[in-house]
Amino acid sequence: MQWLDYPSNRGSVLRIALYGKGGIGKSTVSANLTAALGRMGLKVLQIGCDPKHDSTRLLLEGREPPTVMEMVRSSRREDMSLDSIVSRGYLGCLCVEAGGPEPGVGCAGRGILSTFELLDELGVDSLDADITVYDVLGDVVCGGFAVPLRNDYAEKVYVVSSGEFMSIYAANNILRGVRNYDPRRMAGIIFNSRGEPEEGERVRRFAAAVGLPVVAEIPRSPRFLDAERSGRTVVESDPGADLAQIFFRLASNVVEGDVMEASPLSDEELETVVLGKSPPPPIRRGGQEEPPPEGRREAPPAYTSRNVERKEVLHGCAFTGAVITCLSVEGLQTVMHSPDSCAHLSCQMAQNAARRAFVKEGVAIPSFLRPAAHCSSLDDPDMVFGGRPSLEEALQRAFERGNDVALVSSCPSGIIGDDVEEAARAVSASRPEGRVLTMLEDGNAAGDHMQGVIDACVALASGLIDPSAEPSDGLVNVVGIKPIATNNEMNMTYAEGILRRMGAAINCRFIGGTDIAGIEGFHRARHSILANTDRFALMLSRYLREEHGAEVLRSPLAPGLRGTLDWLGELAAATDRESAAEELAASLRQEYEEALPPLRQELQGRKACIISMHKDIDWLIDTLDDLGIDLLYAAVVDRSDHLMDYHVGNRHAGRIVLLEDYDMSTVVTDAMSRGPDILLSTYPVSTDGAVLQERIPMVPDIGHLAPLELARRWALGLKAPRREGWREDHG
Amino acid sequence: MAERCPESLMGAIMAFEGMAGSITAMNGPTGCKYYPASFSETVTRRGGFNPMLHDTLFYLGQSRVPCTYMDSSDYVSGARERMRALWDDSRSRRPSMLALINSPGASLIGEMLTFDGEAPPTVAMESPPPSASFSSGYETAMLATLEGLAPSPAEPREMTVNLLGISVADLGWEDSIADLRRLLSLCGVEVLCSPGAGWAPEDVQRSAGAALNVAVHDERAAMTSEWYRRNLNVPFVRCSSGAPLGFEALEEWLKEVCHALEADPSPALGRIAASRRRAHREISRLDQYAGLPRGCSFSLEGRPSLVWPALRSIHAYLGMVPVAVSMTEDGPCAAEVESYLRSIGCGEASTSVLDCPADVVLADGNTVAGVLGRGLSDCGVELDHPSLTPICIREDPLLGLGGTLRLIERSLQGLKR
Repeated sequence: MQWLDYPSNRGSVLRIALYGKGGIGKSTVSANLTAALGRMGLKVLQIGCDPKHDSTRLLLEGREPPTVMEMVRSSRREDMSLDSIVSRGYLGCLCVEAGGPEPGVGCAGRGILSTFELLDELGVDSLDADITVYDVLGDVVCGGFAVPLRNDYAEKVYVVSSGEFMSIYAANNILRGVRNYDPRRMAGIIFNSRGEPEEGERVRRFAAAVGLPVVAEIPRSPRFLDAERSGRTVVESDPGADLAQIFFRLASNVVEGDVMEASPLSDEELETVVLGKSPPPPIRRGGQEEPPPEGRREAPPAYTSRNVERKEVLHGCAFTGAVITCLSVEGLQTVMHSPDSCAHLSCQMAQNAARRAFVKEGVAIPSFLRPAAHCSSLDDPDMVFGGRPSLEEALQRAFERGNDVALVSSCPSGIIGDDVEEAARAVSASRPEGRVLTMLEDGNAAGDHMQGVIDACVALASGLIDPSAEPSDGLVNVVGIKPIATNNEMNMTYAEGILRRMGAAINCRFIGGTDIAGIEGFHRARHSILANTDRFALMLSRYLREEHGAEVLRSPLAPGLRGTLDWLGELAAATDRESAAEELAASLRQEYEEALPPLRQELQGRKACIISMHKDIDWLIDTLDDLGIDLLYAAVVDRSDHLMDYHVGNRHAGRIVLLEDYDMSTVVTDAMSRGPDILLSTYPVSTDGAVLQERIPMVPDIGHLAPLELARRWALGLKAPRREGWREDHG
Repeated sequence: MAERCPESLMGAIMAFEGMAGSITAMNGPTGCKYYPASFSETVTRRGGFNPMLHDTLFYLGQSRVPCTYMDSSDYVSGARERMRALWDDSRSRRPSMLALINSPGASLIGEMLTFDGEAPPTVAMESPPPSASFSSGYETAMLATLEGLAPSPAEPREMTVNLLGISVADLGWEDSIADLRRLLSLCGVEVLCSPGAGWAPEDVQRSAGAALNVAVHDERAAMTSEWYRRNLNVPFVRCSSGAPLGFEALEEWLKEVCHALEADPSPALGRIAASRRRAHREISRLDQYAGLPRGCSFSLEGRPSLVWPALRSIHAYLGMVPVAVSMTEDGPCAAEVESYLRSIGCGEASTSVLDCPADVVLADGNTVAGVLGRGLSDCGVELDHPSLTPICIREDPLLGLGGTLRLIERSLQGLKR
């Protein structure tokens, strides 16, 4: 037996961490090390960082203590205390187990993070300990399991390894992990033998190659099992044995050994050093490297946003895009499997749109005014243990309000791997009349906001459209609606007015301001017309044609006379309403031409420049031409966060410059240098009031007279003071 | 309710954004940053969405809350290097304080937010509490700020206070502070600062010298006041009437503060009395020709420290009857609200303000729009953002004497139709 007298309470606590491949014997080594340190007179706190929570059982006579995560799950914050989770074991050592989720659910790494945060909060540093031993699960598989490696925690890191290649491979990975933090804290390798021949040689070659000492060699021995049967460590059951001496020497190394920086090997070097051979060539398929797996999607969707197709920075998230789309359907309950923050951000978008529309137009999408939204409110325990119970509860709440439910998944629910579809199946099994339409957006794993809108439209269409609906004469669907646009209702009112004059009507507003019956009855209309010209509408149009056999007109609802006559004419031809359309067209043309002269009088001869984020500005150029305004320069600036209408062909292509790589200040300077009276731009650009700036609407009002309303503003604006008085004041 | 209400992530971000000259940088996807950035721009009056003006990496068309635009592959490999680049970009702008915060997804994968190198005072929140209340996130961020900037104990200056619990997310926050400051100064009491709402790093140290911390919104003051008490010996007072809104609650709040400081509240009470007479003149006219507002119905939604005094004021002072009352989070005043409703025979009042017809609805702007837009009421009074009227040039406090008069005036305005 070896006793070394170490004065307890040596000042600041020494913290060490033990890492190593799962099943390599870390917990056995940790517990024996703790026992040895205890016999040396030191006070030890051992923290097991493993959902299996079996790190300290050999110090507690085989008992398993309550875990931190169980306390988090079952107790209110004000009832939590260290007393509930710290157990006293062999020679008074203190034992804490983090705990975590069952295999296959939740996120154990999040559990470790939460454990450390809570222990800090509860004042774990106030415990009377000289040494803290962190026994950490397997490989450093994520940020959570790397917490003990952070600067605030372990000052010394040991890696436990056998001589098996995969054990050494894991050890090498751990060295890579340590390098992401402070690399100069490696204390050595603990060789835990399997009893295989040449094992020791492999470990020693590896240790030499990475620059670490082998600080302990633990032979395979039945004494470990014997001790374990009685719920004890070898050090406790036979402190005089040679085996126990190994742990006493290891304990001395813990207290007095040095730390150093290790140099992990590349995979090829590892094979060479450990196995003494050249690594095989990588597996290739079809002449290319096998691509790494990406998220849950097996294949990219057929109908993509630009951000997804071009792998650009994602603007917004698919979760929000899908939620907004679903919230706009009257009668549909939308369940968000997410923390409250994601739900709040999404619902705010809908409610803000309703508020703006209500204030400006006096009318808003009804379902945005009172969102039928339900959130599973994923909290910390859900992230650790899995969020399925919370999700099922949210689904039940939704079903109490209606039979049709849309379910959208968020980043956290995707990261923790909740089986959302299975949860939906389980709940709807008890609701024979219920329908759940699942959208696995996983936050922005599926893509940007627009991708989410596309995905939701596809999901709602495939889940709700009744293919047997009988077509009815005179009905038209409007496709590609943007429900959050402030002028949405006003645009639909205009379209309805025109259609009524042709003896037609809107059947389904796909998707914005419709209801479930409207989507189900999509095929009651033989024809569909696009509400926009952007990529979103393009994708939707293609989807409806390809998957539902829809007839979608080429000409969209548009601002301006020409655009209006285009769709009117095409619809008339498709529905045998040419004579009604001709009469209507003549009436619209007359109204337009009667409205022109007073504006032309004000604006003729003026000069304008355009800087637009839309490519579809033919209607704007038509308006300038009709009013006699001289277009000096028109630039369309490519932006990945915008409507993406770059597939649109321009009648005025020769007069537009398309800029993909640009500096905005240079574009503005270029435009201003031409001396315009009016600068038309999607957003105000910095010209310090030198010229009249007017906005090109993000979603223009449609209709034959809509651009002339804009022109009225230009005419008025030109009568405003060159430099307003407020600019002379300073904020 | 959780879906409609701002929650802990917003609370934390707004606490950081409440430090003048700060930058709050988020490690997370763009979807988590757009709305908080837009909201901050609105409530702190700093710019607006304009991708043509703010076309820089990390800012993505906005002037606030730059982010690391994480995507799904970053959840696998982490975004540390991009966060380091964002940290470099942020510190080069020399903010008064740099706050680094993880989005829920980044927090889940354990992204670390500490970096080596010279930087302005930096506060990191790696794990904002998920699905917790706005107040919880706000106070967690406030504690992180105090721990990070670490004010040292100071000799208390007589007759000085800090106002705790106000956030830049609150409607009319600047004007509310100004209103309370004026009233207190009439009593010889100086407001040193309002932590979390427009304070600067030098105010953090100044706040250590306050003779008293005073709760304005007590659901956001418990942890902060305890920190001040434990670390800086600054005592704390909370008025059981809730926030200083409504004549009764305002007077009680002032008396409580003055009593704790041994100051004379009568000058401020005199000012309030003059406003009472003015209000009486208007209300009595309405009473004489229409018998209003007695017996009119109202619905009310907000945080407990606002709901409690507003409820008393509109019921006891104006004689209107609550038909729906709901609180957006828990707080010390919640029990008072429930007890009061029972005592006036309205214990069974609906908790669904969005669905209840009422003569007047008092709530945030979106809820007001939701009720008015569906024809359930003709008169709405905003108690919180988002606002139906985002342009605000005149002083328009939510609290204090101006806030009380605002509450009365707007509650009556719709009844005159």
